[in-house]
Amino acid sequence: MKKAVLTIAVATAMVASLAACTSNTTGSDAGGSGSAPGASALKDATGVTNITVWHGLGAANGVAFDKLISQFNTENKGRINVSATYQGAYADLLAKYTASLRSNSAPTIVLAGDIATGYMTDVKQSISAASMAKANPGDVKLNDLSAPARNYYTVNGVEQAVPMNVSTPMLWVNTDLLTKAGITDTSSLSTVDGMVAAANAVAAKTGQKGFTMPDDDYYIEQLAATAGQAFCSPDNGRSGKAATGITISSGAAKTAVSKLVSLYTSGVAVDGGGAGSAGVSAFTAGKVGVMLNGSGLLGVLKAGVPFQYEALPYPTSGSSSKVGPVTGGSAMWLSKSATKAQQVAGWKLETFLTSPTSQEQFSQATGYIPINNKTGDLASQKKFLATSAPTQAFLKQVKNTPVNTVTAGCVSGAMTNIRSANVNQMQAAFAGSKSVDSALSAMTASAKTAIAQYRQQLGQ
Amino acid sequence: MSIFTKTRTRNTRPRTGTIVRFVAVLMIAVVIFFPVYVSFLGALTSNGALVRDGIFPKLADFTLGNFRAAATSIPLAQEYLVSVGVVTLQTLAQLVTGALAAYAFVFPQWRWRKLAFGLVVITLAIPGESIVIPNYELVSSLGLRNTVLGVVLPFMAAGYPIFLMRQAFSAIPREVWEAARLDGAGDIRALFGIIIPLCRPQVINAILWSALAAWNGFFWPLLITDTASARTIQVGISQLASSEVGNPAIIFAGAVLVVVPTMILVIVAQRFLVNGLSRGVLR
Repeated sequence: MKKAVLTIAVATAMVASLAACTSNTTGSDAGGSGSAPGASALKDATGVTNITVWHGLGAANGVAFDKLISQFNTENKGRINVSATYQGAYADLLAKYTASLRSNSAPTIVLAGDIATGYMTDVKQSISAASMAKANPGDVKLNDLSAPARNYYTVNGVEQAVPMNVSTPMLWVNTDLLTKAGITDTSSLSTVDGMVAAANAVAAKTGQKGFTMPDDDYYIEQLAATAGQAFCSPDNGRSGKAATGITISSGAAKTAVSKLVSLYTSGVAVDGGGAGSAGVSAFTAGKVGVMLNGSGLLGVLKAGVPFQYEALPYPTSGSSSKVGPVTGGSAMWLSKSATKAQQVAGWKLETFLTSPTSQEQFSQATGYIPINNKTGDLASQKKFLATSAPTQAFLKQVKNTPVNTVTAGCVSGAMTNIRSANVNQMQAAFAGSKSVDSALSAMTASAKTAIAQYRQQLGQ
Repeated sequence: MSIFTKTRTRNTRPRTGTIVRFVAVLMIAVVIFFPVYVSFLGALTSNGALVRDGIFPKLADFTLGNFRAAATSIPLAQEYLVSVGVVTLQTLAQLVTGALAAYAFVFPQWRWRKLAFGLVVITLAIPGESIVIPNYELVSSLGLRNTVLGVVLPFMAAGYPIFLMRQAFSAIPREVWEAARLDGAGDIRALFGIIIPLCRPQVINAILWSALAAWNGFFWPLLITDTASARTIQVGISQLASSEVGNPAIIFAGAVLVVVPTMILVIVAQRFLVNGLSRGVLR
């Protein structure tokens, strides 16, 4: 937590110092266009075009990404050379990226986390994916990519970045414990009420804990989206007006969060910890019935657990035709300050990384969902899916997610600060030291302040 | 009262007090050591074994696989070497600058020396976050980004070692210094030949502090370096945690790999640590 506070403090200071160079366009005509170069910029370049990629993919995800980069370098030897470097978790990566802008040493591509979308759009240092696709029709086919994921990175009708790795939040269940608790039909857990009932049953009948999740505001935001309520107002900042606050303290979202908190205060749930490691440990030990976590948990579970498990869709509390979870992951932002040859080389890399074969390889190694819809047409992918029920569940959830402003998620450059501040309130509510109303009101107030400060730093 | 009664009273009181003190210290030691024990167990057992079997897992759950996974996910050996380099350079620099500054604050008589020392002490209150940006711009402008020297440069002098050594040097009678000077020793010879040997525990204390601070640095090395060739092990093990779902056992393994050298250092040098701290108290 101390590292996160330091990172956010430094990033905030850097944002303030960037104010003279940027303006808050989220909510107005989002920029980041520049003039996108065409293929001739790379063809006319002499020698090897060197590009840099900064990412926040650690553990097995980083290993899989490095493997793809290595393959690209081999295929493009003598023409393009990519140097990809891990730059810390998403928050650290963003702080470092901001520092690099000040010293004019930004990378060609930065693989920024989902909630950085508002900030990356506001600083206007990237060429939009839409304009690059238009200038290079032979490369990335944006229409082949997952619509909900593209929806996340589209601000005011312009797709800003190309999604690379997409995750989706799931409800992971220990089917052995559910069976012992008398629950054999897991379809009942498709709603928040069903999930709460199942957690209570596990706790009452098996002696184990019923529920856990990481202490991460991401999962609270999902409860809003799956209740059909935009997490930020107005309209998640997606309809021409910048977000000014969050809505979690009222409506269907508040009801869903209250039901979740009741699991903690009644002793049914076990605290998953800030990074979620405690919850993951407890779940993999077979001590917890159900767990909210990302699709990436599959990599941990595949290593071997002493029970049967299943990945279920994120529980909803709204009309299924309008609701769905918000995708997670990161997207590739192409730098405006790179040379034209580097920009086109970067676009070639993005084309490679989003191709069906690359996405198949990456998703099978990491648990991320293939971003390219045509990956499912590959015979090898079909064979793999036949053996991986959880991956089928991930794909089905993303495919069934309606594309609208609610499921697009909140776009605001203050999201990192909002999430960080909300965690403390969540933990207080879970521990029972604060009432749900009080915690949610505090979250709303601090988010409003964070957004106002961010907009002030950007000169709005 | 018979002599037998008096003897019994004299023997039982100290023993009861000793037992109570021992138990209290043992409980504090358990509380402090328990997270370390859990970390080691988490690194040496498969995921979930700790939660499943408690703090005494079964032998079958023990594995070195987590260390293997940690070592293959990151360029461990290279980053270890870089960390050793950073610790050596930074500690040496802080020792030299600290000793020179402390000497200047104690022995030569000059105007404003107390004010100068006060300014050094004030730097202890400056939060590290507030100087990250100026340091970044300075190191970048010198072309030292992504180098070990760039990692070390802003920390070649630090307020705490100067403060420690100044306090230690102040405890030495001035006559010792004057005698050395009268015998023909210059300032450098007096410092390194006479003063520092007399303050060995406190100097080692300062070295320990500098070394631990250098070893544990994370955000600055992350910010100023771009490739593994200049990255420290702290930055390396952060890569073991995925941004979305981490594998706790591998993260434990990484943490153990990082903490073991510092534990060895403190165990080996603890005599000097206690000695240095207590000398300051007694003065």
